[in-house]
Amino acid sequence: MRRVIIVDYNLGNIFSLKNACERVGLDVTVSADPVKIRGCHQLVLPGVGAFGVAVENLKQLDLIDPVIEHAKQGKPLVGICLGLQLLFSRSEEFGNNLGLDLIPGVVKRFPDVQDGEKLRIPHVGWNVLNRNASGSSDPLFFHLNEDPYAYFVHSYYVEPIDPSIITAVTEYHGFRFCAAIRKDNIVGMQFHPEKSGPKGLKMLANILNGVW
Amino acid sequence: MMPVRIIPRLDIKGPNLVKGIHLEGLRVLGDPIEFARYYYENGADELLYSDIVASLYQRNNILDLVTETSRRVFIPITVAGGLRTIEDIKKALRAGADKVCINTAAINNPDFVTQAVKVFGASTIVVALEVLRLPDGSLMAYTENGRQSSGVEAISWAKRVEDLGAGEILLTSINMEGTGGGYDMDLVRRVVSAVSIPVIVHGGAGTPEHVREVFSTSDASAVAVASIFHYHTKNLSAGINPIEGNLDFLKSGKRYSKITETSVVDLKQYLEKQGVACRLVI
Repeated sequence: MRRVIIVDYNLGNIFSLKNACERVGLDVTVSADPVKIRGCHQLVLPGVGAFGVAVENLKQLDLIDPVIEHAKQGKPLVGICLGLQLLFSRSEEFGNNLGLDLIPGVVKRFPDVQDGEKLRIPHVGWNVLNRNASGSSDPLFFHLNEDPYAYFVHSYYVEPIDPSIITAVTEYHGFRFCAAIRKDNIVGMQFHPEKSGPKGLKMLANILNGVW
Repeated sequence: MMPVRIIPRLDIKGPNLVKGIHLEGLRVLGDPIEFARYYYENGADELLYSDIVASLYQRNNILDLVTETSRRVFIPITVAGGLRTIEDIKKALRAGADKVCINTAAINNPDFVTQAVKVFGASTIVVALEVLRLPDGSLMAYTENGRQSSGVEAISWAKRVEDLGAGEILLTSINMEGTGGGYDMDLVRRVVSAVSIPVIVHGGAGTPEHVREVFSTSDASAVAVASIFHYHTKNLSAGINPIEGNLDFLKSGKRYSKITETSVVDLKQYLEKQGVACRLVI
């Protein structure tokens, strides 16, 4: 069993994530200690909240460099929701905020109107992960026969410059956005696997139980 | 089509799941964790835990239940009742809640909503809107579980809640809550069309048809339902804690006449057949 660290930078409910990881048998620690984070094998960057506040918290806790180094060493890094968005170059949230730039691309806000209809933001609820060709072979989705439902709650979505890293897209009243990515050792999920029922737990287990 | 969300609402008093009529006259129904697990396995999209006395007596005893539930139930859990400070919200999230719902503190101090959104993100903050329709037809926002008028008109408050940055509105009709007589659809439509954030409709469902009406005739995103699920699930009540609340209703074996009992999955199948998209695969 490999050790997993959930980065605790004071945003969002990481306790749900910890509970879910424990449920699938992972040895998981919640930590904000740069030394521990540098020494671990797998890192999960969670998060719910504002992009700018998240980056600021990471800076103040001296966690930016450890996370970037971890990724650049080729060790598994998982970003969930805001944690995925933080890996991108920048976000349009409240002006322009710089992210960790591990994945070239931008974090954008959903449009207010789609096909002439009001798009309610945040996008909250269960929606389908439509796997593409690279997604169907991605370990994240092992043992999931159908495109699964997952729980989303977000106002912003990621737009990678290289679309080939996208493994699944989701449609919100006709607006298609990136729901999951894989770039080498980095996996990102816009949804919350820890809140997506048995299938979500399956995805967490797939990704953290060493299927890379 | 984005599926609608079906959210069992669990009103908590002490260790027990209770149900009130017009938010008065509580009946004990059973152990909330057993109900929560059952709903999770039965296809609930989220759970709403409401501490119905916290707002009045300023205490928090619901968090142990939330922690216990969050270890077994892997869908979002929202906690409502008595949350007044940033520290209260932090505690609820640390206990295992995913979202919090605030009412009294939001109306008394709208800046609190803005502050909470800044710290925890819009998607974590739900604002409850408890509305009483007065005899002259006006709609007023109430606090303290429908006991205290805020003097604030409900529709303008709904818009303000969105401007303050809240992620969702939980809309309750005080007139209809617990009656089983159906939703106040005029209220629902007015609030839903006034805002661009998702609205969870609560208060009044007595039949699956009432729930269908919400989704067929408004752009509501979710319903929070108590009676029609709880009464269906009442046989989970064997091991209840008799310390708090009135058990006469349970002992009597009576049913509540206006309520058509149904399970979460049955309700969803019914809605699908009526053209309302639901998440049926768990």
